[in-house]
Amino acid sequence: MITRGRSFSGRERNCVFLNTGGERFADVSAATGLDLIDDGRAVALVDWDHDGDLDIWIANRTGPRVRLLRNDQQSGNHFLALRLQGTTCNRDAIGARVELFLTGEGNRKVVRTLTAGDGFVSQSSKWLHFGIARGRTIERVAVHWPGQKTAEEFRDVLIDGRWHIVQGTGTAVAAQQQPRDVKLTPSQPAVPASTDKARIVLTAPLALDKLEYEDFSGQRQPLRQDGDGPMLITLWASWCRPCRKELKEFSDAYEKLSARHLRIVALCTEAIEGSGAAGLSAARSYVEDSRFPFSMGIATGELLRSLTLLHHAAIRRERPLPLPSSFLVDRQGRVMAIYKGSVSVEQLMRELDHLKSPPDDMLAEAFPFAGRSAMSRFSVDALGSAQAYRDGGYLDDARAELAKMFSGPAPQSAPAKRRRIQAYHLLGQIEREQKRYDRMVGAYQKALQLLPSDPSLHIALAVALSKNGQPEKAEEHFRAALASTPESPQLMMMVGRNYVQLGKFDRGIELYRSALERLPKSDAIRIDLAFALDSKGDVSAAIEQYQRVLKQNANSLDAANNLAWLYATQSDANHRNAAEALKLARQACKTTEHQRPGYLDTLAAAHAANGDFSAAVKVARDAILLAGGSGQQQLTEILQARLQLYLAKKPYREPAAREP
Amino acid sequence: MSKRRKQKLSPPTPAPAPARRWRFKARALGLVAIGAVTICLWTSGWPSDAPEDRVESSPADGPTAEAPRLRDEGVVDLAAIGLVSPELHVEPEKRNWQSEAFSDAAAEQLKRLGKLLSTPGKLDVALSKLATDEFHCGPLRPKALETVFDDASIRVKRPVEVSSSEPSAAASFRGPAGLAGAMRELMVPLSEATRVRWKFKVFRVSVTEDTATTAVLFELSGRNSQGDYQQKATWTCQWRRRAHGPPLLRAIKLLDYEESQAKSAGRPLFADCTEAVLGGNASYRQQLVYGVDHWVGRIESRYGINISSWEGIAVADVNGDGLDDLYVCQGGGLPNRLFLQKPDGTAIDISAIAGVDWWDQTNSALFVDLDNDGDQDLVLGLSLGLVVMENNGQGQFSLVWSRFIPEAMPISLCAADFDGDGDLDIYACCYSPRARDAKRQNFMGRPIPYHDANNAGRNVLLRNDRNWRFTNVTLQVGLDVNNRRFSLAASWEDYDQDGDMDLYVANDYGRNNLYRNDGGHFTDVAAEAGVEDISAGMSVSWGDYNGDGWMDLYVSNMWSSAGNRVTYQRQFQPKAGGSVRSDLQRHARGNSLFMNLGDGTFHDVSVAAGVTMGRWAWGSKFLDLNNDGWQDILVANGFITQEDPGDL
Repeated sequence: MITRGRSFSGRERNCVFLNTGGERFADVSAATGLDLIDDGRAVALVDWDHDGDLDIWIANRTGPRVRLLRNDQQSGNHFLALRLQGTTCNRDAIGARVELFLTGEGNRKVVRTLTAGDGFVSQSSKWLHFGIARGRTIERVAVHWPGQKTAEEFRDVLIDGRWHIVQGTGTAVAAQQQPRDVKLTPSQPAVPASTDKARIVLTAPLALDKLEYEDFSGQRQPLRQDGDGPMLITLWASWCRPCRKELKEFSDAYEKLSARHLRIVALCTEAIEGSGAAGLSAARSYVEDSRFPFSMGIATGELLRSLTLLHHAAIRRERPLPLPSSFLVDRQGRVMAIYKGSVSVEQLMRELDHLKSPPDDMLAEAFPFAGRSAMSRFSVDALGSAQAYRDGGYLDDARAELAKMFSGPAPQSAPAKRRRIQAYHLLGQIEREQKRYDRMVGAYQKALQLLPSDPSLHIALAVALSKNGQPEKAEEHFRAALASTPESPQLMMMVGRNYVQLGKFDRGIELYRSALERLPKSDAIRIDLAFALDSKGDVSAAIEQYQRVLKQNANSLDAANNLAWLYATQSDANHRNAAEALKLARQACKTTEHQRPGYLDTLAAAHAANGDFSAAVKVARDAILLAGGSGQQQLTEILQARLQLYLAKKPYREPAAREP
Repeated sequence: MSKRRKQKLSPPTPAPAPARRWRFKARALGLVAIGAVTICLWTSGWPSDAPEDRVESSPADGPTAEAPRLRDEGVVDLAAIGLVSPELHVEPEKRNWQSEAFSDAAAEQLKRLGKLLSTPGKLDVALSKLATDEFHCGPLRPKALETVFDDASIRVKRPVEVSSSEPSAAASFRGPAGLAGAMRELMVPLSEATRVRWKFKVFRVSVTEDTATTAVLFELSGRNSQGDYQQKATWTCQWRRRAHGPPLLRAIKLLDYEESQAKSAGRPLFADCTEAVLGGNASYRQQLVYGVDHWVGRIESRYGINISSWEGIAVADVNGDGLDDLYVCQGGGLPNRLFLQKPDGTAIDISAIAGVDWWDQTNSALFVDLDNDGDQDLVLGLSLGLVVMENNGQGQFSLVWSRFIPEAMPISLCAADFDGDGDLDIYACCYSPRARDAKRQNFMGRPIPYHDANNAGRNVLLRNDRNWRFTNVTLQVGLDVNNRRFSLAASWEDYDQDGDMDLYVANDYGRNNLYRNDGGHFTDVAAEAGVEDISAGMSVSWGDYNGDGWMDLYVSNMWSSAGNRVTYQRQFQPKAGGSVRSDLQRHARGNSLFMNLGDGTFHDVSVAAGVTMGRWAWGSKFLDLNNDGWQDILVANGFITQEDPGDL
């Protein structure tokens, strides 16, 4: 209804309510002159002219789209304007609540909060404005800075002034006032009448229906046939002066337009019901007199309806087409532009050039004023949607968007493949977040099928397989990745871990050593190496590596913990060092505030190794509580078993080292 | 506040690599650390989620090329010659309500009465066509008026007692001549006035076989020697229905009355300075001066330009010169405008040089210092999502962050430091779900059920993680509760004064949300706080209207005379169960004022305070118009005004 030019809750004036003392309001809409009929929308407040009262910027639906309504009140009341600056809170001090305490009778406290964005799609000035009734004076200003428990007081502000207040200074500073010479003369904005005349470029060209018109001998003719060049369909009437003028211009430019292979079909509207048969004979005689060099014909009601609907498909203001109206159609039979009102030959020549323009230039052609577009910055396809949903934690929505993408045809072009692989990667990450490792494996397998040689995908799949408890299969993909990226120490470390997981310690050790050649200062790789050596049974070498880590980084808790464990629990007494074990384990536990059950386990073992079983029992019980509380079932069981040993006053000993 | 609180709110980060041992080798070799390595390999090969490349605005694409490519000239409307398809162009027929038909007839009669008001000399002439012989009423402008407000700019009077004007045997005005007399009394303060205007709104109807009663809102205003003067009254009109001819007035009872007189020496209290400030700019004369309809008829709708027009404005000092500037959002296909204020109060368009002349459909803009460097950065709600632009301190902006919002277009924006970490976080209301087409521009959401819908887009809270990184934390901070409503506006306020910022969200087609913040986690307490306000919420303004130090709440809704008439008819939703009827009646009641009781709850004082009347209200704001320290209220009204006189 509204798109067809009808009002809906229109002519409703803005309302103003005057607070008559804190209980009731009076309607002063007309008395203030603010009761405009503008289809008002956003309201922003600001003392624009710095005369000490609040002026109003208001956005409207009708023209003018914005108005400044200057407050000319002469109440004789006073004001105070404050601009806040946070130091520990946000610098804009958004959220600060300011209390103005006044002396005198009646309301003694005026409170304002500094907000950013309120009302409807609006933001007001960051100057906080306080009205102060006549006869009052300022006692003090109390600022409740956001996040600060007690208010900060300012006593040096003077009435009718503009002041800067900085958090923590306790002193207000008068605003540096640049000289102002505001002379704004009020006026009623002149709003020009809108017309139907428009040039509409369709950035999404619309296919023209198969339409027919009548020629003047009464024969039905197809408007357009496959293989035709560009054409202009023009609706005209013999009584329409602008139409005749336009047709004359087309005639005069026949050679120019024909050289561009533009065909024009000018269709009179006189045969359509309502305009009368007399009109048609007038049209006929006009055609005979004018010797129009392009095609002439008679528009049918069906044709007009089709063209009108086509216009409405692009333009949401569904008014009837005016005369003349023209539709520019390209070689593919798509409407590229609609002209409501006459179109000049020069415009048509320009348009024929632009029909070939790349789409990026189309926006500049289509929009009436210069500007810039952010559209390309948003990835609006299913992948972009899925990414956005995942960022918000809406994983089901993300998965649904991806499913849409996967149900589409298999990607052929390189960019389409890349996009699809990114989608599988996103799915893999989502499955990983939800610990559905089998599905994670599936996602990366599909990605790898699209790009079988990609090392990143091999790694990703290998990681998925490893998480899914399939280290043997992971090895295959790690090796493939290593083959094409042989120099990455990070990759070597990952592959090394997989070998250790598989019990292939020597291979793991070899990779760790290669990685360390490239990154000799890496604690993480060296700890992995030490662990691999330990796993292999080369305890001395493991101890040596842990010691090296601790030498270069005394704060490496993992190294301390793992070394303490070795010192405390080795079956071979030569490797045991109970005192050192206790020292290292204590350090690790102290640093982590006794919150890590794994480290506590080591500490308990170290106490037991020193023969202090009561301490071992106590620490082991703490570890059990922590592990149980965080749901670590397997660790809890292991700790329970060890606790029984300590209760029996026995230390824990690792099984004897296997043969290398 | 320390940074620690924010960490608590973050998703749990993977613990450092655990100590590895013999006995849980398999676990110990968990690949926790590998993720980081993988990502690092990935980003080397493919486009990443890294921050946006910056766009520097260059003076080369400066504010030239503003001349429109069109010239208006003679155009003939096909409608004038009957070439209009009824199917395409004619409004569907009204539903058949007896009460609505009577309301139309009564409104016509009241319009005739109003026309007589404009020419009080001829008041007696045609009154017999308006009132029966037994017509009676008391004074419609009560004799005993008391001044309830008076300062040097405005005076308000109300009757000492209204109920005395009950029509009775002692009524002072009788017959058609009596009606004329009552009307003449109304006009006394406007005897020499210009710009005299009157309006009747029938907002309640009850019809029997040969009589009817209507509740009517009456407004009369004009400019006299002191300034603008207005009357506002509510009447109960009793009618006699006639088989042939319009109904006749039998009696008028005055329900309430109020008159206000501005004291501004015959000039308006507020002066329109739009042209004085903006008139020097081509962008004003060629773009903003036209209403949205003009442009909707010229630009493809696929870029979001629409007749409802929700484009907002923002005021801030963008170049740090101490003067506030103005940003104007525009519909899709029209570039947004930034006007820089000069010391003389005029403003110049610097949109292109500032780099903020976006064509994208833009509903709201927010200037906030996001990096705490002392200038005003810019957040924009564009059709496809949000962008953040960094201010270089001189009022030039570069795009540093953008985020697609897949399901809905952002409408209102507001910012506060919700987690107390010293930087501003951003909340965006996202209204109706997007179309599912490739461009995802237009709306197609349909509220279900109409009066309590929860099937729209999700609103978004973006936590500022510094260095121009923002994380959608809506879900993890508890704001995803009741988060599928048709939200149009929101505003932050520490309403319970516990030191953190709470959030009120106004929702169209249903109830609103009050999210209480408890140390960075939110709970929707709208119901227990008494501020659900089930209705068509459009706007939120916090302010202390009664001077008790607690922030009260004003919410725009719709006051609909048609809604008031129809929802009280017996034939309206007769089968609807539960509270549907009363919910829908509430929908038409109008705006709401909630008094903050200071104990976490609010009291609905809308009717007693006299502030429900907002019609189809949009933005509303507390503001102190006359500097007396009390918060007054301004309400922007009206949905679609076009050439036709149609109105509901």
